[in-house]
Amino acid sequence: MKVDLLDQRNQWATDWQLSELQRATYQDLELQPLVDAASQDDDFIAKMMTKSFFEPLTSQPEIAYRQATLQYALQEPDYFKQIYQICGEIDYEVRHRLWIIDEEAATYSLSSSVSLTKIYLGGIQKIIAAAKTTTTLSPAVQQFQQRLNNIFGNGQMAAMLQLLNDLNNNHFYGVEGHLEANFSTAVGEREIQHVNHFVDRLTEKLRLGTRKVTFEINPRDDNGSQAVVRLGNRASFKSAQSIMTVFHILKAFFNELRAQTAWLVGMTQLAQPLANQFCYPTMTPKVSGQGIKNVVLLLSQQICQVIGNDLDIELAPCLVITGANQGGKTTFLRALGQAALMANAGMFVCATQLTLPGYTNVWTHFKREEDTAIASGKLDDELKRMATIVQQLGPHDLILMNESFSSTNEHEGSTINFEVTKGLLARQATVFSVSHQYEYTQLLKQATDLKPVFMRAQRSDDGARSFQILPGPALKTSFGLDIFRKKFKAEANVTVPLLEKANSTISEQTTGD
Amino acid sequence: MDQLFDIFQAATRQSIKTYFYQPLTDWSAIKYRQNVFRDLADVACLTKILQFERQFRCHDDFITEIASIHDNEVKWYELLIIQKRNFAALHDLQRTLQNNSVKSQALLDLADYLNHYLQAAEVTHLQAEIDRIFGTLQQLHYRLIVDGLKITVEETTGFESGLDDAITTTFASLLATDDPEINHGKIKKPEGESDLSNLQAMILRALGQVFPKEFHDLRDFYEQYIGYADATIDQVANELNFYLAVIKVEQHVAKTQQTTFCYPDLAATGQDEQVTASFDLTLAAKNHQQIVTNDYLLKANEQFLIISGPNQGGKTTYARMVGENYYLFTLGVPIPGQQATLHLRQQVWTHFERQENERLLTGLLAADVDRIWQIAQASGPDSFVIMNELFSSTTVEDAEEMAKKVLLILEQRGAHGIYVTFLEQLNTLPATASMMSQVVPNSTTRSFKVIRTAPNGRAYAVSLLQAYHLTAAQIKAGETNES
Repeated sequence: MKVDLLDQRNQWATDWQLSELQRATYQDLELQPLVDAASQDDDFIAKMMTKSFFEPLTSQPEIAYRQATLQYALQEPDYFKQIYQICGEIDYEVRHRLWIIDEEAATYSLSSSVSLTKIYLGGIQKIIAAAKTTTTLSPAVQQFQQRLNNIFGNGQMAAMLQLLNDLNNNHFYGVEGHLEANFSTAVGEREIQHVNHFVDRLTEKLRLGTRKVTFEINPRDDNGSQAVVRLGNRASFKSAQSIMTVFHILKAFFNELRAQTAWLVGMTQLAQPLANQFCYPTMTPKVSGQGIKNVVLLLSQQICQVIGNDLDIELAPCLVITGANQGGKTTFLRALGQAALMANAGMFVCATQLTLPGYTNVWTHFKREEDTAIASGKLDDELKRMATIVQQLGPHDLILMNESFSSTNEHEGSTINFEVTKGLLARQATVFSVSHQYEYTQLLKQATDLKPVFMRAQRSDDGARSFQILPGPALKTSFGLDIFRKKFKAEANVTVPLLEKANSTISEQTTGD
Repeated sequence: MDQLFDIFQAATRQSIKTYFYQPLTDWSAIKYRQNVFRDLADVACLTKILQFERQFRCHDDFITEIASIHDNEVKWYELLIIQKRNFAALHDLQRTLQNNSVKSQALLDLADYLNHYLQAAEVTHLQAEIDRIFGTLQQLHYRLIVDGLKITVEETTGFESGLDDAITTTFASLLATDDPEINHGKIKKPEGESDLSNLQAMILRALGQVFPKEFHDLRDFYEQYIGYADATIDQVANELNFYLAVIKVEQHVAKTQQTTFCYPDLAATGQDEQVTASFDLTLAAKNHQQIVTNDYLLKANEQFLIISGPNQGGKTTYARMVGENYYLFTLGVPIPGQQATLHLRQQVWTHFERQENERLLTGLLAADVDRIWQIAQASGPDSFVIMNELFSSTTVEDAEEMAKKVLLILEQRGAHGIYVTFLEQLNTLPATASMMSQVVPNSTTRSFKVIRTAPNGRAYAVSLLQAYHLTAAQIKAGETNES
């Protein structure tokens, strides 16, 4: 039974946990306030919101499909809330009664599955009752309701419930047997006739002429009574498997439905405080957007006006953001990361317009303030983190680097940063990088084949910040370098040999690949 | 090795331990067994033989069990079933031996014997009787009506529609949406009956009453054939267990440890002895950790291997491996390794350090000397002597002196062997070769490789220093620990 409300993969209920790298992305992009606003203390919704960031959609049709259901949810918020609530109640009731821990014996599985299936069917009845008929349904919702009707409508639900009620006592049954070569009786499966004492007494008269012997196993005879149990298990195995399959189909459906509606409820709750300051993005190879805002700032009650920034780098794979401290670079980088994750998750984004390619993964490599305590291992740690990212690098990933490799001196840091950036670009990744390293920007600038795009956080002469990030080259803010140049004159022009050196190291690395 | 024999024994029901304490003294007898192992190495053949071992029961094995059964119907039925299975197993075995073109003399002879046996008039009559009676009994179809512990056995009037059909029909629309990707849950596979249960005994008794005529035939069969057995076949069934147990254990090790076993060749006079990619089978069979393989080489002009190197580096394991290989060779059993050429060493003597701390120093040394004296007295050209850290309870100088003497004495007696020691000077003796357990370069990690190389007492210290960037050269070059 497919849910298909958000996609045709239906993998929302599968076990999932943030990997260490994903946790870093989550923290670096400050997604917690977003998830908090969406979940409103519902851990399950929070989990689904988080999960959707890391299981991105990869094509425009998929995105449009999810966006359509999302738009319907914003229009009819109660419908999904109701379904989510029903699923939650059913889930609670099932967990409460579910004693199938691992593999259980057939007779036991049969009776458990029967009672649990009844609970699920009750849930289905409620969901069918909640169906909407009046409003214009989104295609996914329409198909969802149609499927339920096909499976359970037309008297099928009643027949199912009737059979389950007949199976309440499964210690009474008839089964055909014959002698086997292994000292036991080979039994067929349970016969439908002997499921009900009352009916059986009526039909017994018909079998009066047959020869028969009745005996009773002494309850204290462990060997004998256990053999009766085994006999029951053999006779019930096939039917137990079938009813177990029924139970698991329903269970999977409810789990998936609960997960998908959780996300829709979460999105409805997120939309409220954002008050329509969002749009639905399109997936194209071009990176371009207007009025991109940081969601977390929008959700924050302390900030009354949030500056939106534009981005238009077309097909360039590398964006470098430089500029003054406190100028909004990191905020903008986070906004871009949030937008990429949200767009790929089929969410709305906080911008007036946005197109983005589908990124396989979004990784963050942010400078870690808390690392200052372990000064000696900081660069080690940075390199190690980057190595982990490289190990898990997908075909079209977005890597957000925020002041990477700044835990060492600028020269060394720039060289490493440039080498890493170049390596990542060679792997078809997109790199958005915030950096103070002038040498790094210059190395990139000279490597024209990398087609880097430069943006700069604005700072007026009086030092005031406008939080505008505009296209523009990096500025050499380092006075130290100026002094160096003055002293060394021609010798100070070290960038070219540096570049050559960097090139040779990179080519060693890539051949190593 | 008793641990290994226990592991072998655990792989089979029959008692096979005595075979392990009767090493063969004759190369042709060893080859005779090796050839059986070679035949059984064929997967198709082995599967069939394993099946035979599971199915066939010797007369001694089942007769007491049957005698102890109380209910007559059960007693009769059990004999019928056992004999039926035994003949099925024997026919399978006959086919297996024919179809798999076995080459060993032992199995060819067995095939021959079976061909004659199964065609003998008495035996064919017995088989026909079994089939006839079992056929009648199997035709008896009955219904069990179970109501808690109350059970009715009745003649059946035919099978009625099953519950499963009802479920699959009623839930058809739902089941049609089934998706192989969802978890379908698992139900414990219903247990079959390994032994005869009290329930089945009561069902059989009830069937005796419901179908009296058919059960009279069964009783006649029992009275006629309860004493029937063939001694030769019973013995074969017993001896096959020895092969199967060894194969089971070795195949398990080969699979989990990605290693191989081989059939050693007899080394000619003046030929080097060697085993490639071998390992300690006892250790491998007991542990699940990855074992490390090692090569063994004892050149024709060498008598003793002197093994030194860091502690916990695999020296003792190596020595054990070699000793076990010599012993397993004399059992005709495949040994761990890719290829092996060995002499028959009838006596494998070991002298391992005993943990006897309560003894006085002199006592421990005296015990050492006493034990090695006994070994020396018993040793000759057929002996392989493994000594592990001998004389550790005295000064280095003394230990070295004594060790040299012991080695020279053993060499004069023509013995071969291994001396595991921290005394590096021993390799200066004639007819010795030195080996060392290894450390992974630039670390303190043991590689558990033991290779032929001259002892280098500094190797371990150097690798430690390198790990911490503290060798003289590194300090001079100003290398820092920042890599």
